Amino acid sequence: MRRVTSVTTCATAVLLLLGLLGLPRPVAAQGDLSIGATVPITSPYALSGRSYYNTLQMAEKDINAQGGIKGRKVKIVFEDTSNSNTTAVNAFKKVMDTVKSPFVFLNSYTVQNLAVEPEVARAKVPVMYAGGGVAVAERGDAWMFRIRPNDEVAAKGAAQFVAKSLKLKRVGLMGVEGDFGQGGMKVAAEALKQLGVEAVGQEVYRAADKDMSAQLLSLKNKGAEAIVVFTYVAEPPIIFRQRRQLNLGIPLIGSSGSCLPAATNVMTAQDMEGTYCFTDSLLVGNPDPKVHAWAERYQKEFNFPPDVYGVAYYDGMFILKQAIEKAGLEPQAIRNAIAATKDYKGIGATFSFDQRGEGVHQVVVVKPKPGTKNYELIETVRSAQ
Amino acid sequence: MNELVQLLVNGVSMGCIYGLVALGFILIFNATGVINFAQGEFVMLGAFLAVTTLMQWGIPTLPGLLLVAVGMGLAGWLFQRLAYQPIRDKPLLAIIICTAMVSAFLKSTALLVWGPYPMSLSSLLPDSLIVVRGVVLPLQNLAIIVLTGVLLLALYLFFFKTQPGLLMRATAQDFDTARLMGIRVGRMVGATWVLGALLGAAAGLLLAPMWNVSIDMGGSVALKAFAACIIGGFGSVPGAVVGGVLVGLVEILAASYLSSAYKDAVTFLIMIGFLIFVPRGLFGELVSEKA
Repeated sequence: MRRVTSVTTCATAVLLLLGLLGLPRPVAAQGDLSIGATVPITSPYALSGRSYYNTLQMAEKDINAQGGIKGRKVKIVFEDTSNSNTTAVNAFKKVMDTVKSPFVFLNSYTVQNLAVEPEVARAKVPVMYAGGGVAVAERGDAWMFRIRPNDEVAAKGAAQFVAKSLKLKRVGLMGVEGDFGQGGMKVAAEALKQLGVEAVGQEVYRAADKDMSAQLLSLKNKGAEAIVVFTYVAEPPIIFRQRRQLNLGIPLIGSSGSCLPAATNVMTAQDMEGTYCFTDSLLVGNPDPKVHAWAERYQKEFNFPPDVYGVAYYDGMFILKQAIEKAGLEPQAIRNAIAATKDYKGIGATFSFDQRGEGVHQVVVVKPKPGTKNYELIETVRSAQ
Repeated sequence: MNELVQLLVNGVSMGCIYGLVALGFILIFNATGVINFAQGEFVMLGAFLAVTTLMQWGIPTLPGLLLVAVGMGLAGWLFQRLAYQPIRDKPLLAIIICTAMVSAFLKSTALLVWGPYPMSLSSLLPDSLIVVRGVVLPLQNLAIIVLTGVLLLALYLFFFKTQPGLLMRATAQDFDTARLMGIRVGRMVGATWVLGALLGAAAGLLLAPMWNVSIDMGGSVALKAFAACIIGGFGSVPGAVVGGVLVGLVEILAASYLSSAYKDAVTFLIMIGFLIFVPRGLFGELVSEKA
């Protein structure tokens, strides 16, 4: 009986290992230009990571189809950052040690961007990152470039939309526990106050919570005419559905997590009715044929709609290409060329890098067309520079 | 008043889900002494299996759920065969750490199989609202409460009115004596893990329509269920359910009337309070009584 158990155990273990290994990416050949990318491929962080894991490969393919960069084939070397800061730092170090890349893509998680920053300063290579926390730019690290609007731009944009376009006087705020949610609410409350709008309450919930009815009801009872929510990706379906179930009757304005396809995929048009979203750009349903074509191509290749994280890295890759073609492969020169990029019109946003490495200075507000899950553009809100 | 009823119904329905997961904990603990740190992953696995059978393969509800039950039963049986039986004579700590490793393994495997994006299982429970005496209530919440009641009744009948149930209770009460009386204790332990997995899956199926299916859905539910076990009395079956409902109620009332940011702190403070002042919980037996 014991022998059967150990044979079964071994057999199962071997089979599982084989299944899990999968097919590795081909190794870079001589003469290829290797660019490092530290991306969450495993763990719940893969929710966002999968998106730019895909678009970076898409960009690699597109660039090589056009002849590569300065005649050399581009090879993006991925390292998994998982959901641990230590893993993220090690991933960056590994990329620098093995690939000796003149540039690295960091991921979209502020906590990990902050953890890796000292290593970036030590390695002296330019990096692009998509975490939204203002704290990253405040480090003053000249090697770091943000390829998305930061959380303050987003929060102020939402406040401006609510005050000037919706013309409301009393607004409720709700946010996920942590720097993003609570920080966002604080910025929004301050911005609303300056625009003469009262923030009637700031309700917090935990990212893993499954029930936000208490927070929603509390804000409604305090007289909120609308609620602005700062969320990640898993909570919007719950919050939107509960708003409908509780018969709240007031609009919900969600942060970019709420209109990511990963979130809308599990929502109904019913739940999305009467909601808005403030995000980087509109991809699926954008009237611009170039954007529309890109979105269709992504959908076809990866069987899932693209999102604003993905497009940011796609655009970032092409900004990098332009920088290398202009300035060569020396990290400092690449850094200066990226910093000098102004008014680069990407598929998603338009990029102009400022003194703090901030590349995007606007958000758009979108709303689902009534009865559907398809978004349309309502307004573009530019931050004062 | 209406709002209070809404909150109470929400709290009780969430508490039922915690209770089911807590019940899984308790059954496995009673039979083997092991605290199964992968119980939350049973919740997740059950929900993902339902997504595959009902949504991806399009199998009609009843046969689909049957398939999920078979799959989860198999998972529970495999778990104890591969991760418990080979090391059951080793120190308890080693076994508990093993369950924690299985939890990590299941989460990573689920990521590979189903991907990182949350999935919907909306068809399982009704999505509409009903009005009861002027209070608007989601039908889903009431369905959860009713279904949990039915499940508990079925479990009670199984344990107290059937032969296999009697044998399992005997094994849980005193392993060695049961073995001496000729009960196939290995099979009983296996059956208990199967039941634990099925209870986890049931919780997952009730949770999924409202809260969607994702890799990390099991973690926080399992933690609250653990608190429920402590409050209800570790080892007590009615305690697990009552503890679960209490945790659900405390959560939502604390969020509404105290502070939404501190609701978890309140729940776990109460759990710590029980550990200090009433360690045997509401329904637990004193250890000396058991011996």
